[in-house]
Amino acid sequence: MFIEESLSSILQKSNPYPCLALLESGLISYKESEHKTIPQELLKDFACIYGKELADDAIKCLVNLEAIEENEIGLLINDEASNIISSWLNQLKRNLLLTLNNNEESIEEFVVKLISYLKENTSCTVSYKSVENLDFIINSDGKNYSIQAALSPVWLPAVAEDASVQNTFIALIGPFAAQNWHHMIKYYAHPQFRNYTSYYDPWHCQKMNISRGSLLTYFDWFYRDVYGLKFFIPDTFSLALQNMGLLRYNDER
Amino acid sequence: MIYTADKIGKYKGADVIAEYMLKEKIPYMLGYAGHGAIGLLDSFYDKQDQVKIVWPRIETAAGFMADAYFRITGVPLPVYVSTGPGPALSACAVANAYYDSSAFLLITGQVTTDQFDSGALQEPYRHYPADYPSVIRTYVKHSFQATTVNQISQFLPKAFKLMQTGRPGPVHLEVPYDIYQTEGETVIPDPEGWTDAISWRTGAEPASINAILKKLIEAKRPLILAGNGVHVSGAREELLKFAEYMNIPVYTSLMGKGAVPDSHPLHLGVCGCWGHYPAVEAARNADVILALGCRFSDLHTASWQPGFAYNIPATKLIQIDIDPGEIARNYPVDIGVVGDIKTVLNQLIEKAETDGIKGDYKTWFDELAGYKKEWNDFVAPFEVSDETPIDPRRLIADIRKAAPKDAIMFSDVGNNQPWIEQYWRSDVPGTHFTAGGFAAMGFGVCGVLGAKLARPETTCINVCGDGGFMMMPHAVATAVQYNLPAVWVIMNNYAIGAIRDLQRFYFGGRQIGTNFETYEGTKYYDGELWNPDFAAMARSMGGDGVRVEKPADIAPAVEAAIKSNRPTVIDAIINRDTAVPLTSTWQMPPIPPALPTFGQIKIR
Ligand SMILES: Cc1ncc(C[n+]2csc(CCOP(=O)(O)OP(=O)(O)O)c2C)c(N)n1
Repeated sequence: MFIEESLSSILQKSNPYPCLALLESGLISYKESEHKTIPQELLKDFACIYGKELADDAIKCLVNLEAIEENEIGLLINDEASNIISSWLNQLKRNLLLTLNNNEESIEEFVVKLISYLKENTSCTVSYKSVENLDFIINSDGKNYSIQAALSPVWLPAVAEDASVQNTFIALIGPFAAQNWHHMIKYYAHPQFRNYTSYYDPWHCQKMNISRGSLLTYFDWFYRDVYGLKFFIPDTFSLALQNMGLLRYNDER
Repeated sequence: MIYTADKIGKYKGADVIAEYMLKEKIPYMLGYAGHGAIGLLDSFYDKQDQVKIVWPRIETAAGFMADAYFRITGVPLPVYVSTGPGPALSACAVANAYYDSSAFLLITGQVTTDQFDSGALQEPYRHYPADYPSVIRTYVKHSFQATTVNQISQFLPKAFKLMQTGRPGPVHLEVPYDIYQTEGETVIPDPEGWTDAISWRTGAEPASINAILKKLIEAKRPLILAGNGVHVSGAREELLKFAEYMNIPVYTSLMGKGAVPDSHPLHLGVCGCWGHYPAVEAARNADVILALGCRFSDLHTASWQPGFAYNIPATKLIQIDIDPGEIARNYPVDIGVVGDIKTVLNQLIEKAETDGIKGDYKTWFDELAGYKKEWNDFVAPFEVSDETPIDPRRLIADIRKAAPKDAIMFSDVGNNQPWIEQYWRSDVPGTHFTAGGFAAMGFGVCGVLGAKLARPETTCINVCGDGGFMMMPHAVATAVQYNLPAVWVIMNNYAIGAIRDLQRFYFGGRQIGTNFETYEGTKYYDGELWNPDFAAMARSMGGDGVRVEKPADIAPAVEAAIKSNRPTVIDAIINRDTAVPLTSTWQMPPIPPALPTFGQIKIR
């Protein structure tokens, strides 16, 4: 039987992120995928990002906790536990701490400041899909943006196609650079992914974004104006884009 | 009829042109004769004291010289050519002037009026009789074809009006050669009654002036962008005054380069594919940009790809241009003003001063200081590089040291152009010239002679490529003929370097048809690099010539050239594999854009 308190054992692990990523993926898949199961491709990415051993461990751990269960189609979040897991993850997410230019603040504070910066500096309108989930829908210049805080980069491809159909740009904010986010670069070969999604990691001052959502310029400006910091683009990202033929390196570098 | 009867006289068509040029106080007529031009020339025979005939060795060169002359003086010169090939060869120069808002009057001959549609020698007749106007129309503000003497009188003042008012541009006048010789009753018009009487420097409505100032005051990261319009409008002083009063940093487009002194603390440099990092970085971070006479071309804007050079519409754009066609052509504007830059700047200054409006952009300046330092640290070592072959940056730094402060610099087209863009500095505004729009090779090589005609006492230097020089090497002969002691510095890289670089960086290094080499075998790459001896060529034409291979020899060679007061070619062998640092990008779709080689990559 699933017991809410048992979730806290995840946080005792030396690296809790595989479990958190799996829970987050499970919740997304529960809503987005046909049989509510986590897609096999996502699980493969999951294993690549965290390593097979840690990934298998996480699956085992969450199945033991009965947060996740396995049916004939695949892994899925425990139906009864889904709401509890969702609010537990949200709580966790909101409290994640950031140190920006020697000031500590939570990601919740960061995102809230970002949203009010956008409101102040653009003529966008903000609607809240879920405040406790730090998930905002913004309309600017006729385009929709979904700005979300997240724990893991792994599940973004699962929502990219929908985003492109709905003409909505997704900006994920989270501690991604430390979680092998480079593995996700291969998805930039898909127009839906590269045109509609972006990753921002304020912990590491890095971003991966080649979409043309012009509101996203203000992310950089917000970071600059409020914290005096700059989002850099990781070299591996630009190199990979070059390999895909999306950008060219000038070998004079 | 607009003319008063008492001035009517009998004139040949060519006399009308000659007399009118006297009234316009035109000092030079440039061109190249053929049977379609001698009728015109004959009327200048007795007027050579007042209107000197200067004819370089090809029609294109005459056009380039006139273009350069206008850029420096604002005086449009007539350029005469014959029929057929002459007009065809001049078309490139006409276009070059048109794209850069420069001007000259192209006078073409035509077959006689009774030979229209006969296909007589050199008539463009196969679609429409005497049809050169159809050929040139895309490259001129207007094309006139006179078929009577009186029409010449009517067209000339209109031509000069068009060239000099609003956005300048070349105008074409075609005269069948019987009309040059035919007498007709007419009046030689007075320029005073035309161009001089027209007030065309329109300003902005007061509400727009208020709105612009409000936007700038509210901004945290404002910039002023000076395009070629600042030069054309003669607004450099007003620009500086406004920028200083408001304390707003200024950057330029390639064509706007030299709008403010390079060392001015508010100056950030050029923004563009090969611009200065502080300007590019500032442009993509600005919240409001006041653009003055700038087209936002592909090379300036990273082919309009967001994040590289600009983030418009996040950045709010205020665009002032005398040509409404250029406003919001490529970027949406927050405020657009159709107006003359000088006039609008004066309005802004007056209003700001009256209302005591001033900006305070402290954080912005702190940021900009950081960008400037990064860039200067990067640049400094190259400018003193002792490497051979010579680093282009060292070459330019040493020319700078040797040349007088007010030296006029013409770059040509190719890599030499962005090298000069990035490394030529001048504290005397309005001394840098280049062909930014149509970008015709050879413009700088010949243009420097037009500059020398306009400013005989000033040192005039052209930095060109070996490709561009060899298109117009006869410029040296013209310089000797007319005693125009210009200095040419050839950046000799045994290649049409800019295009070779595109092959290196965009076509996987497959070089074909871009290296100057002997062709011995079956493949382009199995010959040896080869060029003529440019210094010897110069000497054979009566000028001086020297080949420079070592960095230490650059400055003495340039000093000697300037001191000698003789046309001199300096053939400088440069490192052919050093590419101009990319601070932004340029794209040739479908090939993806190259990444900047300096500065944090900005892709979005
Ligand atoms: C009349 C003309 N022909 C061709 C071009 C295309 N083009 C642009 S740059 C360039 C290369 C110029 O080579 P070079 O003069 O040797 O200068 P470099 O790039 O080596 O400095 C060419 C061919 C042009 N702009 N004008």
